[in-house]
This record gives sequence, C-alpha cells and structure tokens, in this order.
Amino acid sequence: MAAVFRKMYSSPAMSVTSRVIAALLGGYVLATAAGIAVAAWLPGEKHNGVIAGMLLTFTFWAGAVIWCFATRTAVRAWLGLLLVSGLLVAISAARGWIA
Amino acid sequence: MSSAELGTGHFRQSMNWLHTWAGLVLGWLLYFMFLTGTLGYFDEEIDRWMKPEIVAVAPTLSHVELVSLGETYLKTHAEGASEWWVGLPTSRDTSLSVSWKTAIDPDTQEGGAWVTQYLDTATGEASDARDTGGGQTLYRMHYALHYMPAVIAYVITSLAAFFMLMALITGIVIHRRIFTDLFTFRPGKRQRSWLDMHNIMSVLPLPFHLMITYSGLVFLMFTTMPGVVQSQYADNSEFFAAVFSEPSHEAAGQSAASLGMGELAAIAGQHWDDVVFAHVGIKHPGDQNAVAEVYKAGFDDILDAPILRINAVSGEILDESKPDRGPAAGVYEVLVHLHEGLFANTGLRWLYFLSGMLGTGMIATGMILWTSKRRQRLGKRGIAGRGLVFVEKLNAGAIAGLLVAVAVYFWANRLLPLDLDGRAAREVDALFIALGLCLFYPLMRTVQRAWIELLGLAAVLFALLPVLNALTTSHNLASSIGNQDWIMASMDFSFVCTGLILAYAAIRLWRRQHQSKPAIKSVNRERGERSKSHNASGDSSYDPSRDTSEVTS
Amino acid sequence: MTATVLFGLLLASLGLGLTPLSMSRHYRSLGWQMPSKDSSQRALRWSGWLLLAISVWLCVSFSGVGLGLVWWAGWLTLSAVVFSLFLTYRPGWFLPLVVLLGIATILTLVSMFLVQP
Repeated sequence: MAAVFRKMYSSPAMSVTSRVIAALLGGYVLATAAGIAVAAWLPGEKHNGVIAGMLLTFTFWAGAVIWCFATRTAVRAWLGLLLVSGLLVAISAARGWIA
Repeated sequence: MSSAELGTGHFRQSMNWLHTWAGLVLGWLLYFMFLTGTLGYFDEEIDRWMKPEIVAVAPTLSHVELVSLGETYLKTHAEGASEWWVGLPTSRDTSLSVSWKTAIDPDTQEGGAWVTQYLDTATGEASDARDTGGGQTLYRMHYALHYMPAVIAYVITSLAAFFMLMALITGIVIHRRIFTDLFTFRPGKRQRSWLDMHNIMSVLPLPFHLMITYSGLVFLMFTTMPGVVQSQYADNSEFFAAVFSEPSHEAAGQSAASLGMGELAAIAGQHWDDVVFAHVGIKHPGDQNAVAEVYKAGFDDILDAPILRINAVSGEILDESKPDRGPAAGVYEVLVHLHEGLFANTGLRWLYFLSGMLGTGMIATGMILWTSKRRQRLGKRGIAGRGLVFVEKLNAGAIAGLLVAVAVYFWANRLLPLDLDGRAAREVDALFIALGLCLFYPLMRTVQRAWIELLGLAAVLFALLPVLNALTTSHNLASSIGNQDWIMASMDFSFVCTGLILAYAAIRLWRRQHQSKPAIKSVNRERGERSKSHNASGDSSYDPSRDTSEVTS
Repeated sequence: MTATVLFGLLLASLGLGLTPLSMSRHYRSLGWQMPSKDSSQRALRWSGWLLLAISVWLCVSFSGVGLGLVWWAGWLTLSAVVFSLFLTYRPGWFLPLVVLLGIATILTLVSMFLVQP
C-alpha cells in the first residue's frame, strides 16, 4: 500500500498537482498568517496594522509560490509551508500571550 | 504538462516553468482585463462618444452660472431628494450634469437611488441621452467582469492578477540580461521575433506592469484577504468605519432657507482663489443642517485634493481637510491612485494608455510565444498535438476576437433602437455574443486565416465607426472640430487610427501567408544564421529559447 | 516651470538614448567599427545613467514625488518604444536622433535662462 502510494506520489503529474495546490492554497494560508502576524505586532493604530498586513500578504504569497516550485520535491514544498505558517501563527499568538 | 524543469534544483529552470504556466493558464482572462482596463483610462471620453445627445457646454459660461443653472433644474425636478449634485465640465468631460439621490421612504425603505441627467445650457432642460453603459461599463468589466455577482468576479480577477504578478516576478528572474535586450527587436524571424517583442513590451514599462498588478491586488484586498481583518476585529464594520468613514451630517428635520448653490460655489471660489471645480453638491437641501461640499477639478500631487465643506444655511466654511488615517492607509491610497490615474492630464493619460497597451501586447505575445515555441520544436514535419492546436485557435479567437467585440459594443451603441428595453444591458450582450462567435470562428478556419479575417473584421469595424457616427447622429469629424467638441473628434480620430493599425497587422499576416513556401526556407536559413551569430557575438546574450530547449531535450 | 519639466524629460530621453550606443550589439548595427577600448563604451553608459539620475531628480523636484515619477517612467517608456523602432527599422537615423535630442535639450536649457531673469 505504501509502495503504491509512494509510486503514485512520485509521478511527475502528481508532483506538479501537489505543488500547484501547495502554492495556491498553502501559499494563501501562509500569506494570511503573515498578514495577521504583521497586524498583531505593528505598533500604532490597530486599523493601520491591519492594512499594512493586508498590503504585504501578496508579497508573502508570491514568496511561498516561488518556494513551492523551486524546491526539489513536492513534499519539501508542503513541509516548508507548514513550518513557516506554524511559526507565523506562533508569532501572532505570542502577541496575545504578552498582551 | 511538461514538468522536466521542476525538481531539478535549478532555480532559473523552475522559474521558467512557472513563468510559462502562470502566464498561460489565465492568459486570456488577463488579456481581457488589460485591454478593457486600458480603455478605462479614457472612460469619460468614451462616455461622451456613446452619449451623442449631450450638448457640449459653451465655454463662455462661468462656473457659478453653470451651478445656478443646475440648481434651477434640481429645484423643479428633484424636490425632496436627500442630495443634489452638479457635475461641471472638466478637460475630460464637456457636459453639465445634475445628479440626485432620491429620498428614502421611512415606511417602505424604498428610494435612495441615484439619478443623473445631462443639461443643455441653452435651454436649461435635460438632453435626452440614450440608455448606455458607456465607457464606465467597459472599464468596470476589467475587475467586476459581467453576468456574475461582484464578489465572485473580484476573487477571479484577483487570482488572475496574482498569476500576473507571478509571471512578472519569474519573468525578471529568468531574463538574466534584462538591459542588454532592452532595445533589441529582430523582425521576420518568427519565434525569435515574438520573443523580442514580448521582451520589449514587458521590460520597457516594467515599473507600470508591477505597479498596476500589485495595486490591482491591493484594490480588492478587503474582499480577498478577509482573514487579516477578522483576526483583529470581532466586527468587520468597526474596521471599515475606522478606514473609510467620512464626517457625517445628519438632517435636522427642520426646514430652513439655504443659500443658493451658485452663491455657495462663489464662496468656495473666493476661498480657493477661483480654482476650477469638478462637483458642487448639497446634502439635505432645504434642511437646517444642509451642508455643501465642493470638489476641486485638480489633485494634490497624485492624491485627492481636500474637499471644502460649507454650512449651506449660514455660508460658514466648516472644514477643508483630508482625514489622516495613518501611514499604511496612506500607502494604500497612493497605490489605488496610481492604479486609477485619475490625476493624469491628457499627456500623462496617453502615457498610461501606452503602458497599458504594451501590457496587453505583452500578454498577447506571451500567449503566441507559447504556441510558436512548440511549433518550432516540432519542426517542418512534426504533427501538432491537440493541446497546441487548441491554444493556437483560442489565441486567434480571443486576442483578435476581443478587438472585434469591443468594436461591436460601439456599433451596438449606435444601432440598437433608442427605446429598446434594457438597452444598456443589450449593448454588453452584443459585446459578449460577438466575443463568443469569434472564439468559435477559428474552429472552422485554419489558424492563419482566422487571424487574418478576425483582425481584418476588427479593422473594418473600427475604421467605419466615424462613418456610422456621422450617419446616425449629428456629429461628424468636421462638425465636431467646428464645434470645438475635441473629445468627440479625438474619439472618431482614434477609431480610424485603431482601424488602420489593425488593417496593417492583417495585411502583414496575409502577405506572409502568401509567401509561406519561402518562409519555410527562411527558417532553415535563420537557424544557420543564428548559430553563426552566436559564435561571432561579442556580448553573449541570454537566449531563453535556447535555454528551454536544453532543459526539455 | 513647464520648461523645467520639458528639460527633465528631454534629458531622460537623451540619457536613455546613450545606453544603446554603449552596447556593442547596437554599435555594430549602426554600421560603425567597434571602439578600440571598452573605456568609451563605459563612458557612454555612465553618462547615460548620470543623465537619467539628474532627470528623475528634476522631474520629482518640479512636479512632486508622485506626479514626477509617473511622468518620468511613462515618458521613458515612450522614448524606449521610439528608440526600439528606430534601431530596428532605421538604425542609420538613430545617431542623428540622439544628436537632435541633445540639441533640443540644450535649447530648452537656454530658454529657461532667457525666460526666467
């Protein structure tokens, strides 16, 4: 079973599909997490931080997409996204703990 | 989907793959967005052409006189309205217009709709302008599409814009020697020429392309990135109130005699030292709390000029300020204004238009390049796969077809009966029916023929628009120039120029098809030449076509 | 003020026009011999960049940051399109065009001093 799965997963078509999903959905989630982290930490008025966060989301998303297609395997693409998104969520949460 | 470039660990090759596919997948939609958006830089001018009944305002009347003229009309036709506005002629719009917001019935909650009329300054009465979507509808399509709820369209167009952003970033990465190729165009060499043209159209206005794409995303970010707002605000409306709220002036419910709009305009004229106004309005006319708002025709650098608020009863100036909402909101405002280019005068507007057209051409040549590259790889005897033929046919139908469809939109404006129900909507239907037919047309023809015939059709349709205008209205090039109606004249003239450019393209393609046999020879000759020139070339230029062939072979 | 902006824009075109002259590829297509040394090419390139830098400073200081940059970028795009067309279809006219631009720039500069005192 695992062998079948591995074989299917290592096919080029699967790899591309997986990367595309990672780039679009995973990238979007990462971008939102990054925007939230900026909004949570940026000093000044609250709405100002939110706008700054939103302005930057697309830059983070673009970075995530590049990562997804530049890295060697689709699995690494997903792992990288998960790691950074987790980190960003932790950063946002830390703001809540401090406040 | 060839994915050999991926997973090799070669950064530039991966980015090459991403560039190709991010550009192709939503390329036709992006072409639609860029073309209609670029036409949107002349939305008001197109409006003027599509509403030929509007009488251009005589330049002898002063602003105060025009505002009084508008007020007289509003008093007789819009009593009880909650807002009155007079739109004054500007350099882009030669009409005098009045708009009002109908009162909301407290019981049924009906009303609150905006009504606009154009006035004939000679009679003071409304000119019976035809029901048309005008340039505004054409411009709205580039982000709100059509036939679908706005929110869904925003998500689709934002996704397309994001693909565009990725195509731009990866394009910069793979184009190593971006400045070396800056001016290089080698015509008559098929794929090489398409690549040169794609490079020129992408690199020269690169700042514009990046700005327009990123600001396009930012424009719709409140719809597409709701998570960021929700994380900080329990109630979204609290956020929007902080970002977008304007000072509100409620009606007192007690009537009071207010100053005339002409007098209020005169007060603003004194305050600003006779500056040109764009709009003068009164909120709650006839009420004790009536407030006049005056908008300048100019801008503060690229941002909105301050608005002047005047107490309409006492004539006292309330405030002249712009709310400062913080640095990030400031950046947002700058991006939005750069995107819209409302501050641009005629010269700068044409530069915007040029950049937008180059962007449209960048997308079109990119799509053609995709097919041209694969054709060349097949060689003389290779048989094209179904995917390649499909993209080739769709390219012809979409790229040339949209030009036909836009021309049909203008034709529909003149030919549809004036009393037709939902006339404005039928104009847009005509555009999309034409586009649909054009998309199917290449299925019945060879790709070459489809290109020539659709481009030829678009050329004829555009070139004949001034003739149609002369036959169906009282406007023609000579009379427009005689009446100093420069916008109408420029529109007619631009249509002829568009027709000539498209005709030139169609004739070039036709000639090339009729020399198709020598063309095959020239491919071989060119190949020999190219390898030679590479050896002799002093500056080793980056050659993406060679790059991909290395990767895929 | 208009003359200053015009001067800034012409200077930008001139600066951009010097760039292809500094590239060996275009140099050859103009029908000239390659310069014996790299130094003249480098001089052309650096003076091109210098003129571009001065022009953007002029545009920004006289039209405001936003408007100045938009004008500058848009104008350079137009100039580059025109240059590309000349280099492709009339390479022989390119040098006269740049010289003409230079003369126009100097004339605008002179007129600025004549109008202002």
